[in-house]
Amino acid sequence: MEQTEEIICVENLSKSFTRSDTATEVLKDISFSVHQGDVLGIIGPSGSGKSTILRCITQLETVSGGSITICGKTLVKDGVYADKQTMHGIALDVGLVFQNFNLFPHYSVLQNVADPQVQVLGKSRDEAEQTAVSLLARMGLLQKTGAYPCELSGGQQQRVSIARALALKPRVLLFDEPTSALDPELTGEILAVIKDLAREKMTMIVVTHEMAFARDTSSYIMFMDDGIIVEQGNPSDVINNPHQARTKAFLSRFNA
Amino acid sequence: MIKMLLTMLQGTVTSLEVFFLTLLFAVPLALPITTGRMSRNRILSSLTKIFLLIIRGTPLMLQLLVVYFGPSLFCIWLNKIFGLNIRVAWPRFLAANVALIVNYAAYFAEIYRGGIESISPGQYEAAKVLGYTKRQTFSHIVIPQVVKRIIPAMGNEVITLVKDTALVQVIGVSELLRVAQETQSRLFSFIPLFVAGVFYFIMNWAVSVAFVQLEKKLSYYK
Repeated sequence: MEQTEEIICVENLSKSFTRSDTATEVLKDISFSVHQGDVLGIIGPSGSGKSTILRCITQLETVSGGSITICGKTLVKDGVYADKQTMHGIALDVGLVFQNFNLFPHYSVLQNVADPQVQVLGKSRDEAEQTAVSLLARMGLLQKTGAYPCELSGGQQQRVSIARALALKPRVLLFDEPTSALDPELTGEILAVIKDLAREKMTMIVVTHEMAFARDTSSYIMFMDDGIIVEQGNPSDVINNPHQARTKAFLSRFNA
Repeated sequence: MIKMLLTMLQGTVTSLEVFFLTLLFAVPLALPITTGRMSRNRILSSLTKIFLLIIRGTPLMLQLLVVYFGPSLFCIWLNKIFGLNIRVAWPRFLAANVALIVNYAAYFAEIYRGGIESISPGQYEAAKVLGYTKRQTFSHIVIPQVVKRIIPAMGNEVITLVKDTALVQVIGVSELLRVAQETQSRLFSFIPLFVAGVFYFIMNWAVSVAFVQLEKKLSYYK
């Protein structure tokens, strides 16, 4: 098998939240890696720690222990973080699409996609807008460039947020339940966009409750519960023929 | 009659000067106060809290008196102790503005804080993941949204400011209401007070219109 570049390497990751002196362990000794062109699907019940993994990789949460390496650069090694500049550089390699979009409401669709390129990559306004227009065209939103997020449907907003993330040319794109705030019709349009990206060999991690989508799009699946990886492997094996009792129970409604 | 109106217009100019100077300085001064109040540094935030408690907990009229008479009374006390002969007195107009600026900055600061805290964490998270620095997030993402949200509350406060300019007469600044009172007792007429009322009303009408326009201008997004 051809050896592809390792994009994300997570080793012995642990994370606990402390509230009024009681620590809750939400991630226990998680290890996995994602290579160039992989699509990792993460499934599991709510509160199992799926989103927390993404939030640790995107530096929205501080890990309690373990290591994360992204594109060969060490973000955190055995719980010790790299310096600020390195962390910022690593952040630029990773894109995140949120469950509730988090578009900037005071910016038009075009500005939402263009402004980060200007602020973060230091591109000229013109260049940034060209990139934005071509990405928005790809998302089927060319007619909406002048609209504001509040004037768009949820599906359109999510497509804008995908364009916004892609505009910064991340090496890996993470999706945190990208369709959980959408109705079934709009869910379809977002899943189609992600499938397209998968076809273009975009490296992705997708946290989702859409089992059929996870099975058909992922190159690898992890089932999580209670902060651990319960079962992992080939998508159709994990989803259609789970071995662990917990996975079977979780997927019983889907496989019925 | 025309002479009366001219004197009252002079008072109005003074009132407007106090109004605009207060607005000009209190709006930016409130920002560091907000930052202090929201600081994670306990000492800084406690000090700011105490400051806000005092400013918002005592009458503005008292603050005017303290700011104007305080320094000279303090000097008299120093002179007594050390047998010196220092005198300080500062212009009434300046003292009036300083007191109003500090007082209004305190109220504005709390309005700003409310606005900043109402911005959803998702906005900060999105900006952070995209790679915005803290400064960029604040100036490009947070502030523009805060401005829109605090406009109604600021409108209230600015209207109150127009009327509070009348208080500066306690330290002898000849603003509109004081001039009106003087004219009233000189002419034995109710008209100057009525005219003063109309003037205040017109000023506040202009303020309301300005704020409605501002709100409209920012209504292009929700």
